[in-house]
Amino acid sequence: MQEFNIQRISSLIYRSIVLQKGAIVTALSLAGGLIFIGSLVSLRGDHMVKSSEFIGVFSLTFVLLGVLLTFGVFKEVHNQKTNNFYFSLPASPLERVVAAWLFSCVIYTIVFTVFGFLMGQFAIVIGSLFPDTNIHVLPIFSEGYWKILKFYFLIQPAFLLGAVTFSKNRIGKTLLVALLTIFALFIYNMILCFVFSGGAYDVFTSDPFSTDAFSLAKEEFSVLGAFLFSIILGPMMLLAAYFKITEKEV
Amino acid sequence: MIQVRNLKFYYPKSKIVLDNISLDFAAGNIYGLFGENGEGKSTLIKLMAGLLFPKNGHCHILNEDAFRRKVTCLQDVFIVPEDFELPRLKISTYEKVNSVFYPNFSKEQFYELINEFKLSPEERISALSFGQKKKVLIAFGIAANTRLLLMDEPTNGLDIPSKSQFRKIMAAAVDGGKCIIISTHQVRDLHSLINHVVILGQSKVIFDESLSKVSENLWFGRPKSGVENQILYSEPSFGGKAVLIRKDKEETEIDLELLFNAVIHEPGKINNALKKTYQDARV
Repeated sequence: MQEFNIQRISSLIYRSIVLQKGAIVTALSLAGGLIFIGSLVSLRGDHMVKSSEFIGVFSLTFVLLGVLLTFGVFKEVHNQKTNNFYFSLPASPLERVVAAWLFSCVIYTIVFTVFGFLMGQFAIVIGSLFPDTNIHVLPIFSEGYWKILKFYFLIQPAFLLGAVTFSKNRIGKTLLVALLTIFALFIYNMILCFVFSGGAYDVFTSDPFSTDAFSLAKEEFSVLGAFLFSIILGPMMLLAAYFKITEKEV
Repeated sequence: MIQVRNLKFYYPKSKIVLDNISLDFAAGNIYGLFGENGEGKSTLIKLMAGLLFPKNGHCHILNEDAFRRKVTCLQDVFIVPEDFELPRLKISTYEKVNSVFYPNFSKEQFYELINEFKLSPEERISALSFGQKKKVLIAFGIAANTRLLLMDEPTNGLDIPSKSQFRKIMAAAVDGGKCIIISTHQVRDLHSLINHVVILGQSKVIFDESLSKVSENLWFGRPKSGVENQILYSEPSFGGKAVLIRKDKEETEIDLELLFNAVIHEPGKINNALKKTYQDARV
C-alpha cells in the first residue's frame, strides 16, 4: 500500500525522537530523580520498596510525562513556521497518527517502564549501602502497574486528538473538553434515571431504589461500560485525529 | 505537470485572494511568479503544495488533486517557504532524519551544495543566520530531486553574492523532467534564470507568457524619437526606459522589472501587443 508503509512509520518515529531529544532527556532526568528519591524514601521503616509505594510516584510521572510527550509530537503542526514542512513531508495522515501513537504510547510505556525500574532498583542498591537494607528486586509488575497502564492507554488517544485539534493552550483545552464531556454524560444519566423512574425518585436521595440503581450502574460499567469506553476513547479518538490531520491546512 | 483550473481561494473573513484562475506549468521550465504584495503568490504556492485547500476549482499535480496530499504526490513536491524555522539540529542530522522520505534524494548533491554555500555539515542550524538557514533548505530542496520545486521568496535574506550563487545553482538544477516555480516580488533576483513569467494582479492572472515570446515581440530600452506611437509603457523616472513593440528592431535583453511594471500598469496593452504580434507572425 502506497499510503501505509512500515518503513516510513519508523522514520517518522525516529524523526520525532531526534526532534524531541532535548525535551525527552530533561523530562526523563526529572522523572528519574523523582522515582529515585521516592524509592529511597520508601525504604524508610521496613527497609523495602513495596509495589504500592513505588507505583505512586511512578504513576504520577508516567502519566504526566506521557501527556507532555503526546503534545510534543504535534508541536510542529501548530507553528506557522514549521507546519509547511511538516505537512509537505511525504507521509500519509494514517502513517502520521500511527507513528505518533506508537511513539507516545507503546514505545514510551516500554522505555519508561524499563527506566522507572532501573531508577527504583538503583535506589534500592544505594539504600543497601546502609545497614538493615538488603538488595531486593523492585516489584514493578503489580496490579497497580497494569491499572495505570490501562488508564494511560485509555486517556492517551484523547490527548493525542487534543494535541492535533487545538493550536494554543492545548493541554488546558483538552482537559476542559474532557471535563465538559464527563459533565454532559453525568447530566444525561441523571435525566435518564429521572425519566425511567417516572420522576418519582431523586437520584441524590438515599432511597434503596436509587442506591440500587447506582450500584447496578457501577457494576455494569465495570464490565460493559469499560469495554465501550475503551472503544470510544481508543480507536475512535485516533480516527478523529486522522481526520483532523487530513483536513488540516497551514 | 501542474494544472490549475478555475481556482478560487479566500481566507476566512477575508476578501478573495485568487479568483477563478487557470494556469499550466510544464516540466523543463523555471517559472517566475510575480505580483505585488498581497496578490496571492504565496497562497498559490501553498495551494500547489497541498497546504491550503481551494474553495472552488482544482489544482492537479502529476494528475493528483494537490489538497489530497497523497504520498506519491508529496514525494515529487518540495516547498521552500518564505518564512520558516528549522529544528535545532546539526545540518547532517537534519539531512538524516528528513531525506529518507524523498526516494530520489541525493546525499552527495546535498553535501556538495552545503559545501558550495560555505557551510559545514557539523554546524548547528540554530547557530546559523536566517540567510544560511535558507541555504540549507534550498540545498535540501534541490537534493530532494523532486519533479516539482516550489520556492517562495527564496532570495529574501540572501546577501548579494549569494543571490548570484543562487541563480547559478538553480540554473544547474533544472532538467527536462523538473519544474521549478519561484515566487518573488524582487524580480531582478531572477534575471537570466527564469524562462516563463506569470504575474498575478487583482486576484487574477494578468500575464502568463514565455520569455522567448516576450523577447521576440517586445523591445526594452530608451527609444529614439519618432517611435512614440510604438511605446506600450515608459518610465520617465528611470531615464526614459520603455517597452515597445519590437517589429524589426534588434532583440534586446528583457528587463524583468520594466516588464513587470508595464504589465502591472498596462496589462491590456502588453497582452494585446503580444497577442497581435504573435497573430501577425502566424499570418
